[in-house]
Amino acid sequence: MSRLSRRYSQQQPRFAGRAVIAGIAVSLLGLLMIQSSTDVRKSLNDSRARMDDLTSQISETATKQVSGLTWIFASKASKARITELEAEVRALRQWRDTARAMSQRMVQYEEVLDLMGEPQIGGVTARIVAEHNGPFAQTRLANAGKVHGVSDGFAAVNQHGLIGRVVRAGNRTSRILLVTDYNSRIPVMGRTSLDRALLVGDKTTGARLMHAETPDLIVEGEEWITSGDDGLFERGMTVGFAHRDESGWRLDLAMDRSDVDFVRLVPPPNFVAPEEIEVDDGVALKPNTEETLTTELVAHDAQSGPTGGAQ
Amino acid sequence: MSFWVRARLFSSALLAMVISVLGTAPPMLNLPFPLTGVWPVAGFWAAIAWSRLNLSVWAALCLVMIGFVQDYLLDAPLGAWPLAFISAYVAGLVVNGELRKISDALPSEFVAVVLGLISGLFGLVIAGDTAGGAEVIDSRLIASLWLTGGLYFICRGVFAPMDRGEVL
Repeated sequence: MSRLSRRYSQQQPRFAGRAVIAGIAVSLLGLLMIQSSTDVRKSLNDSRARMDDLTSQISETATKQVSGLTWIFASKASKARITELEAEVRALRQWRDTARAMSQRMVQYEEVLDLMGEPQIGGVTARIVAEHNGPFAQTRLANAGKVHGVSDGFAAVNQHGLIGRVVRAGNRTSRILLVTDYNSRIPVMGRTSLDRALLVGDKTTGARLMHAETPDLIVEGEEWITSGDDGLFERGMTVGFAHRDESGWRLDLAMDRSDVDFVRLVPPPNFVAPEEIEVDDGVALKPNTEETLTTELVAHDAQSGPTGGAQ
Repeated sequence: MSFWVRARLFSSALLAMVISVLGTAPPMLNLPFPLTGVWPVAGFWAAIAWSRLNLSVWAALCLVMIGFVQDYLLDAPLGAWPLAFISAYVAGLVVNGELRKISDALPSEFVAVVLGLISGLFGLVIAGDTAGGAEVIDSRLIASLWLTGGLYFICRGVFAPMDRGEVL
C-alpha cells in the first residue's frame, strides 16, 4: 500500500506537468480560433504596430552590426552594381528631361481638351529595415510611419515597380504586405492588351492573374500595370510581365529584379465621392430629399416676398 | 529546479529570441546560395534540446514566450509558433522517453529532431487552418526547417546540458 502511494506521489507531478502542457496547447488553439474573426485581428493591430517599431529598431541595429561583415560576400558584386547604377542614372537623366517636356505638353493638351487628368500625388521614401518571410505572411518593415505621414493603404513601389501596400502603420515604421502574399488582391491591366484582371498573390509563382476579362488578348511578356480601379492605387504603376504556365497566366514580378531596399510609399489617390464634397463653409453636401427641397423652396419664397418673382 | 538550471533555461530562451530577431535583418536573408532567404528557427532548437531532459512546465512556458516573439516578428496569428514549438517539444519528449526505454543505443536524438520538426510543421499547419487565411507550407519554410535540423547538433549544447542526467 505504501509502495503504491509512493508511486502515486512520484507520478503526480509528472501528471500535473502533462496536464499543464495540454492546457497550454488547448489555450493556444482557442487563441487561434478567436483570431479567425477579423474584428479580433484588427483589435490586435495597435500592439502589433508597437512591436513593429521595436523590431525595426533592433533589426536596424543588427543590420548595422552585420553589414560590416557582408563585404566578404558582396564587395565585388557591389562594385559592379554601382557601375551599372551610374550608367542607369545617366540614361535616366535623359528620360527625365524628355518626361518634363512631355508633361508640359500634356498639361496643355488637357487644358485644350478640358480633360480631367490623373491627380499628381506625393509620397515618402523609406528604407526596408526588416524582412519577414514567415509561413503566414510575406511582409517587409519600412522605416517610415505615421509621423512621416504614412498611413494604411499607401502603395509601396521600388525602382522597378509595385511591391505591395501598407497594411499597418506604426509611429515610425510601416508594415508592407507584398504582392506575393496569399491575401494580396490588386486590380491590374495589360499595357498593350488593355485587358483587366485581379492579381492574386502566390508564394510559389509570385502572383497569378485571375478573372481576366479577355485572356485571349494577353500577350506573352506584356507589361502589366495597376489599373487604379479600386481607387486605392495610382493608375500605371508597373507590376510585372505576363507569362503563361500550365495553370494559366501569371506575372514575373518587376520587384523581383533586385533586392527590395529603398521603397517609395505613395498615398492612395482618394478620389472624393460626389456626396462627400464639402462646400466652402465645411458642411458636406448631401443629396436632396423631397423635404429639403420643399423647405428651401418655402424659405426662398419667404425671403423674396410677394414681389420676389418679379425681380 | 536549481537556480543555475533555471538561469540557463531563461538565458537560452533569450538567446533563441535574439536569433529570431537577427533573422529579420535584411543582410541575413541576402546571404549567398544556399542560405539565401533562409534562417533557422531557434525555437525548434530549444524545444528539441529541452526535450532531451525531463518534462518541465518552465521549459514549456519559455517556448510559449519564444513563440509569441516569433509570432510578432513574422506577423503570424498569435499562438501559431508557440503551438508549433510545444508540438515539437512534446514529440521530442515522447521519442526520447520511449526510445530510451527500449535501448540507449538507438539514435533517439536524431529521431527526436526529425519527428520534432515534422510535429512543429503540423502545428503550424493546424494553426494556419484554425486562424484562416494562410498558405503555410512553402519551399522557404521547408528549407528553414532543414537548416534548423542540420545545425541542431552544433547548437544543442547551448540550449541544454549534454548530460542526460540533469533535470530541468
